[in-house]
Amino acid sequence: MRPSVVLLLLLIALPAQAARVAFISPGHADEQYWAGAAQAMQQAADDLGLQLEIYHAERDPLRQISLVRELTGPRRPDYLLVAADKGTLVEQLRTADAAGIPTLAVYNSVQQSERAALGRPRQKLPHWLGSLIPQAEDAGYLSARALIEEGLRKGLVDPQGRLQMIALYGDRSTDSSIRRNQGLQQALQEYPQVQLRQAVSADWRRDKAQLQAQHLLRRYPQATLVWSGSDQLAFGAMQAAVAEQRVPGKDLLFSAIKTSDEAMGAVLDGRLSALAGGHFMAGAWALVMLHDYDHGKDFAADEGTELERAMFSLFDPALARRYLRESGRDIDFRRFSKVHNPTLAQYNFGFAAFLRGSP
Amino acid sequence: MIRSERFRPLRRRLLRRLFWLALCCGGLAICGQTWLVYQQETERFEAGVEEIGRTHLPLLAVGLWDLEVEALQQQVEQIAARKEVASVVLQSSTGLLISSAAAEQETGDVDAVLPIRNARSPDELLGELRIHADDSQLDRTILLAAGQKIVEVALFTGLISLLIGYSLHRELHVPLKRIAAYVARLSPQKPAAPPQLRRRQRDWFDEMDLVTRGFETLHEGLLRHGAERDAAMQALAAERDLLDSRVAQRTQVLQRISGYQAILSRTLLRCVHLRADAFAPALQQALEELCEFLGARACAMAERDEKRQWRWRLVRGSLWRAGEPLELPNEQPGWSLLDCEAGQALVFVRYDDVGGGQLFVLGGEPRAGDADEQRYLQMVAEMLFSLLDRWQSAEALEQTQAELERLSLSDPLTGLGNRRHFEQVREQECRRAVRHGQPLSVLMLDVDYFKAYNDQYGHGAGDDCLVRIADCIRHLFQRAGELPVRLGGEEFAVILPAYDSDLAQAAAERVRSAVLALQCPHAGAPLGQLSVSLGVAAWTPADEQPLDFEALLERADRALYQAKAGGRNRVCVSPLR
Repeated sequence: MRPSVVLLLLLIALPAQAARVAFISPGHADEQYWAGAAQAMQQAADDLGLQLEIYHAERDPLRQISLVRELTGPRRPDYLLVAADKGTLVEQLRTADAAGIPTLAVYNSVQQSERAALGRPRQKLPHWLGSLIPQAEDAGYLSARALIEEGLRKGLVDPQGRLQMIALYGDRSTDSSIRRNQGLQQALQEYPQVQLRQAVSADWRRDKAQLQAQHLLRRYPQATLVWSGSDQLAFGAMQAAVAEQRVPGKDLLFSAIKTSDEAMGAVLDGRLSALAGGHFMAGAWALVMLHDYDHGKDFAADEGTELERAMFSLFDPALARRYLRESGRDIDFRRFSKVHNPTLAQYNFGFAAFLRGSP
Repeated sequence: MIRSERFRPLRRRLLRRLFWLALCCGGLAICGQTWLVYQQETERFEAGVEEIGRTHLPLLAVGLWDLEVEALQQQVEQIAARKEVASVVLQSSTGLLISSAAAEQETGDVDAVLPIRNARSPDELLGELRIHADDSQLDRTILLAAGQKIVEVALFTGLISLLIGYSLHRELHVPLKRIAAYVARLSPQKPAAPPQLRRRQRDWFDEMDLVTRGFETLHEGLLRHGAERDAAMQALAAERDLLDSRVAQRTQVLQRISGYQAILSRTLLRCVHLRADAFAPALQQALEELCEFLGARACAMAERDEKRQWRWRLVRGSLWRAGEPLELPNEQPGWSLLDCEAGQALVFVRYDDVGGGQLFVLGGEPRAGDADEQRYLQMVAEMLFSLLDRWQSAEALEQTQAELERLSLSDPLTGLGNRRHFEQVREQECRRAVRHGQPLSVLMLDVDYFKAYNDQYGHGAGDDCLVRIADCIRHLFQRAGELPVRLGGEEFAVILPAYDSDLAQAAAERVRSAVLALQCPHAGAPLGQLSVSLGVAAWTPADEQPLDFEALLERADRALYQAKAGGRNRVCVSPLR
């Protein structure tokens, strides 16, 4: 909260017409994923001339709701970005809508169970502008496919010639997690020689993933592929593997989903055989959409209200090296704006494109 | 058998036994209860385990399969939270170990083991659930049950004890105490009121009444017995008194007898070996003892001399005087009561067959009524008479002895001492002379020409001649210690103690002169008359040699020979050596 206050003070100097956007992050301020997301968002806000305030719910779902409630008061922003998880979206959207704050859901979208309560954007809740989520299936699918390919390449098959895989899900309830898992299933359908022995939910926790991996590796000693819903799960599983006398990248292959320096490093040193990432940029892309909306270019007109875009890229060592090299580079987000680029028909939120610097 | 004086009421003993019985029963009941509770708890635990298997096992299987440690931990804690469960340990086949908070370290026996199977493929064993029963719960339940039972038994026992104690006190203790007090008062002498048991009026009777009646009967018997005993005691006392008097009488008699015996034996003992002159005091003492013992005023003995005259011999008391004659009114042997002098006297008389006799008289009021007493007195009299006899015999014997002695030591012809006497005396005189440091002298005398005298005048005249010389010598030496003896034939000797040589010579000279003065004619002698020659030898302590009588005699003899050789009728003195 404190860094955001500092940002707020800095932004007072900006032109008065700059729109104020508040973002409620479900995680901690120092959480790597959300820190990266916040950094990208701030970069985009600076490029687009938006006044951004970021609030962290510190992994407390109730705090997410109470933060929205607080923002209906004197500190009311012009726009609100919510990354609601754990089933708090309905309450957050309702609160914001009641206060008349235009709100965009980002990172997490409406789940089937919530659909009845929320309906479509701008219908039941007129101030709910829409949603932008990464195409999460991509992450699961891309990483699984790369993992399987690597396994096949290395020939890590059991006596029956099958590749045995175990999977560590982030969880079974969060929308993005479910979609990643679906991506995995999709890849498995393409490779019938791969047998998923068991998938367990690790609650995004490295320690839990380590423990589960330890027992799964004992339960399925012939398993050679470990698919993970996040890099932390993969790293936990790696620790367990090392403890079980397995060599990550050699006789046991890991995949992960994340865009972080640590994950990139693991790709480079071969411990991670497959890594998909880039979705952390969703917040920054949402600011692009809000900027355009604020300037009269409503995304609902040509892209619909509920956008699901492919943001993931598969990081091979070369791309990883490039990410590590480019991560501090100042990319002008205005290039991805339809207001600034009237010729742009559709938003291109792919990470590769971002790294390229053009849509 | 009673060994101690400690009183322990029946009631207390009974109650104590009741208490121990209750304790045993209570203990048994508690054991039974404990067993039942244990069974129940075990069953409950088994039911609980079954329920756990039903409710928790599927969830555990899912959790194990999905490796949901928190969920498993939660399940495990839920199971451990059950009342009958102390702790739970879940172990997967892959080595996952989850235990309830209470079982940080798994200790003790596992009470139940539930296998956890994979719901998808039941053959696959995912792990096992080990359940530890909560023994403290069991202990608590058992304690509670035991406590309950103890309270029950204690209450029941207390009530029963109170009831029994009260009944015993009222029905047994109090009446028995009264009966005991009544019995303690019972005695054969005095009648006692029957015990008042203070029991209510009733139309039945019980053991207590029987006991009371029994004691009353006993009391009556006691009274009867007491009366009989008193009568018997009185008879016995009379008998005893009689016996006492008899015994006293007998004792008196015995004492009398023993008194007599004592006097008899004492007197006899005293007089067994008495010299004649000691008889008088001994008999005098006997008379005094008798006088004292018999309580007589006087006591005396008399003897009848050859003139048939009675004369008092020994007297005690002042009635008679020894030596005086007395008259006996009638001379009856045996004993008689005489009116003697001032009063009655008891007299015992014995006559011998030669006209002599003895008499024993007791003066004063003698007791002679008792035949025994008379017999004893007679015995005493007999003894005294015997002693008198004995006294006479002793006197006679001593006279005879003195005569015999005189005869044995004297020369029958001259009446001078003989050679034996000389031999006896000379040793004594020698010792005396040496002891007193006095001189001792010996005269040896020989009649001159005596053979010729005999030849001329005959032996009868010779003997007369010797008798005359002997009378001469006897007349000259009459002092104590001077002993003239006839050694044999016409030879005489005189021992002269305290005579030195001169005195002895003078004495010898007197002898020669005296014999010559007899002027006894002797035709065969040169002088024409009888003469003697004397040899003198003397020993004085001044002599430097010891006194040797034989040597002295020899010297005297040698002097005599010298006198003979010198012409006879002369005295020669042996020179001192």
